[in-house]
Formats: sequence, structure tokens, C-alpha cells
Amino acid sequence: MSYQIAHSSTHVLIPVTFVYGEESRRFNGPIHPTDAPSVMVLYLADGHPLRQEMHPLRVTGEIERYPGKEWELRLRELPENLQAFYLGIPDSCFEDSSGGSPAWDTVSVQVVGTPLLSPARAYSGGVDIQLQPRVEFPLLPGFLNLAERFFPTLLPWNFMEGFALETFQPAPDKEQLLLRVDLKMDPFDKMPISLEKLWDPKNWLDAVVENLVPGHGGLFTVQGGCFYTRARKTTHWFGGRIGLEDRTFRTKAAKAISGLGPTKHGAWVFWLTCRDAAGRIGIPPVGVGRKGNSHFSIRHSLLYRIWAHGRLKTEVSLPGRPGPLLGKVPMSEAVSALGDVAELVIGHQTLLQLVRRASRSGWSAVDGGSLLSRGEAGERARDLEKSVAALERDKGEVMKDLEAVFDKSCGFFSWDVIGNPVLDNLANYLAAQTGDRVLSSQ
Amino acid sequence: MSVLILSNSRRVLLPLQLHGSLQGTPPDLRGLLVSEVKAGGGTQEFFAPLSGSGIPAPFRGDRWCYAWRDEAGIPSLWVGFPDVVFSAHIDFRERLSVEALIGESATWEGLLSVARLEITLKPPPGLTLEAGWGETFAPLSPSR
Repeated sequence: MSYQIAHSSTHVLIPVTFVYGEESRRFNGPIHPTDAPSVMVLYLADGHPLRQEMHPLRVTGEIERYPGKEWELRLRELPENLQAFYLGIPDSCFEDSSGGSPAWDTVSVQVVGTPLLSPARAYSGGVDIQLQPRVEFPLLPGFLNLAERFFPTLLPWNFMEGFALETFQPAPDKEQLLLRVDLKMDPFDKMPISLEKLWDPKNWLDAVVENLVPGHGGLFTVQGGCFYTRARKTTHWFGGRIGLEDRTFRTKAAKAISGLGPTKHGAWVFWLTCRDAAGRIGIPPVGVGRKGNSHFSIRHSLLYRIWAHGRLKTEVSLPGRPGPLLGKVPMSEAVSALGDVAELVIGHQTLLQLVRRASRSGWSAVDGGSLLSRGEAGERARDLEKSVAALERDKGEVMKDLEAVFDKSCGFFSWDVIGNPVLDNLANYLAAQTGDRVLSSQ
Repeated sequence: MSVLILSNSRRVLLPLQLHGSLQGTPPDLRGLLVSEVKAGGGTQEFFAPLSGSGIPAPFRGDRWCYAWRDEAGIPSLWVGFPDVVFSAHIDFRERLSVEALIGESATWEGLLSVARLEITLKPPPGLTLEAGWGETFAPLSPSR
């Protein structure tokens, strides 16, 4: 068993498993310092004599970052009376005395311990480590995944057959912007859960239509909508601000929607608000009357709410009272860091659409075409990379903590992201901070 | 056994290393114990319960699943990983350990580990927007 670890690595923890007895059963603890657990370390390298050391292990249940000073065995309790074990390997193993690359290629570690009261359950386990040259981690994929977790895609571009962007007049003096998105039944992919059991209007109200009009500079948000079935019926109406209280509204809307042509697999229809880069309503939309292939996605409403919150700059704090926390991160810091993420996501909508398409085919085959020219895309990608590097430098620790909070509440199913309680906590905090202003004043 | 996986890999199926020889019908797994170490020094572990064997074809990378296979009388255990496990984050996962656990039997109480796999995650590839630039979509222009 072996892991690859880069030279000059620090704070290195390794998952290990222990077995005991003739049948090599998994050892589930408990481990006490009285077991006198120790580690035997072998250093191996071509052309060098074997080096062997024994070290006592410090047994701890600490959850703080491993400092990398001494050999440690970290214990974690799990349900079903299980324990997970991590071996902390000192930083000195990964560098030589001059601070450069170590002379050895492989480090082999073996932990042994004997419970004082049951010596028959003497346990052992270990791993081999192959040392590798250090490489720099590209930041963009991590940034995209962070953004995808907190601002998940409700309706991705690859589930859209086509779209139509039109105006709708519920009354002679009133004009609304209407987006119909026809769905594609992809036999290879599951339908997004956003349309199934976790469909919830609260996720869609203020959802962002990312890159609806490339190069527009602002954004389009969802005010309300409905589902248009193959049988030409409208269902799933939502959004109280589009005029649903008017008795004739749905009939007129249904007529306008069906006037856009039949749908093969059903379609979502959204009433949109167009906003400029400062968040103000009222810029005349470009691209109205357009039909064709989709080049956009629809993203969770938290993206707009956090972005708008950053513009209002409202923070309500009572003197002497600590603010609410998200995990161990103060909510205000979390919102500030995510606000910076939202700025980049919205500011680079067109580029990110291209990147997401590329990620489906291994990052290399971009089929985005002339949404951006080749040189322009390269330049914007470099800009984004610089901005992400700056964000990681300034708020990287907060973002790492946020990811950890998110992961603990995420069951490793992609559809859990949309129903994740962390998103609700953030949305509730923003609602308490800004009331209705985010929704109605801009 | 250890394998290298590229971050952002999708629809990953891997064989686990069995601890010993299996007698008779391969047992149903109760779940997988996953321990992971992140680049920032944090750890996370969880128990992913499993219900019944079977890996859908095609495997979509949307959930944990497993299947026993038997080639010439030699059993092997394959596990399907959800894509999100390999997602590259700002603080991305560096090392993963996956243990397959079975439930109690006549001779054993609690959970018994039958197979294990260790994974080193390699950094995701960089962004190469220059390659494969097609001309699929026409740019939008104001129509009114």
C-alpha cells in the first residue's frame, strides 16, 4: 500500500488501518497512550544504505491542523463503533537538513501497539510513501467547484434542447421578458434533481441565468415562471411578482408560450429581470426575439442574493454580541468571501460557460466557439486566474473552512448540493440582514 | 493497493484489494468507510451505507455502488465512486482510503473489513482554452 507525496510537503496526515489477530481483523480501537504505540520508519533510496528509526507515537483526538512536528496518531470516532486513524508524519521526513529535497525515494512506516489489558489484540498497520517532485496546483478547477457547491446549477446547458427569449405583454402598458427553455432528454444523464423531488420555488426565485446574453455585462434573474408540458399545459407556477394575482394572466401567458411553438419534452418558462453590472433594473435587454441552441445555465438564487448583498453593504450587528457562525466561520466573513466568489462568477459568465463545457471533455476540447474570440478568451482566463489567486491568498483559509462545513453536510450525492442546509442557512442570514431590499429595491 | 486518480475524474470504477480469500458466496457489504486528507491538513471520514450489490451500466458517477465479479473462480470487488469525491476544491483532497465493511456473522460482532483501497489524488490539469477551439455557436447580437 502506498501514497505519493510531494517533496517539502508539510502537515502530512495519512489514513491508516490497523489489523489484529491471525485473521487480520480490523482494529476498531480503543487506542490508549498506555498501548505504547510506536512507529518503525524505513528510509529507502537508490545507492544509499537503508536507514531505520523507531519513534513513539503521540495519541490524540485533536482536530486542529497537524503541526508536523512530531509523530502523531489521530483518532476519529464514527458511527457503528468504528474508528478512523490518521498518522501524522513530521515535515522533516519530506526535506533534508538543508531544506531541499530529501535523499530517499520511499519511506515505509509501520505502526505497532499492544493494549495493556488485552495483549491478544496487539495491532499493526502501515503504509509506504513514494516521494514525488512538487507541482503547483492550478486554482481554476478548485474555484469552479467551490462556486458550484455554493451556487449550484439548477438547469445546466446540456439539459437544454433550445431556447426562446421574447417579450410578453400582460397589459397594453406592461412588457415583461420571457425565457422559454426546452428540455432535452439525455439518455446518458439523469434529469437534474432541481426538476424532481427537490424542486422548490425558493431556489428558483432570483436564480441567475448565466450568460444569457454574452458580453452583456450585467445579469438576468428569475422573477417567476412555470412548466410547459408536452400536452401544452402550464404547471408549477411560481413567483408572486409577475402578475399571477391577475385572473387573466395565466391564460394570456399560456397563449404566448404556446405561440413559441410545440415542445418535444416539456419546457421551463421564466419571467426575467435584466440588471446592469451595478444591479440596477431597467437596461433594455439585447438578444430579445432570439431562438436557438442554449449557451447559458441557470444557477441557484444564492448567487444573486450574495452578490446583491455585497452591493448593499448592510451588516446588522448588536454591540457586544458575537454574530452567527457557519461552522467555525463568522457568517459575515463567509458572506464576504462568497461575495468575492460571486463577483468573479458573474463577471466572467461567458468564459465560465466555455470552461464548464470544456470540463465535460477533459478540459482540453472547448466547443464554445465564437462566444469569445480565442485571444479574448485566453486573456480573460488569465485575468480570472489572477483574480482567483488573489482571492485564494486573501480569503483562502475562510474558503477552506467553508468547504469543510459544506462537505460535512453533503452526502456525496450531486443532488444533495441543491438541498444542502448550508445554502438555506446563508439565505436566511441574508434575508435577516437585508430584509426585502435585495429582492425588491434594486 | 494504491492507485493514482486525476482530480475531476468522472464515473470512476475501481477494484479493491481483498484482505483474504473468500469462502462461498461473496457477502453483502454494509457500507464503505472513507477517510480522506485534504491539502490544507484537514481530515474527514464518513461511513457510506450500501444497500444491495450492482453497478448500473452505464455507471453515471452519481452514487456509491459495488459489485462482486468472478473471473475463473477468482472473486474481485469493484466499487463505483460518486464524481464529487474527486472534485478538485480550493482545498482539494490529496489522499483517500476506502474500506469495504461487512456486517456481523456467527463468529464476529460489529463490522468486519474485507477489502481496502488507497488513492492518491493528483492535481487537476490546467485550463487549456486554446486547444480544440471550434465554431459551434454564433455570437448573439441585438435583434431589436
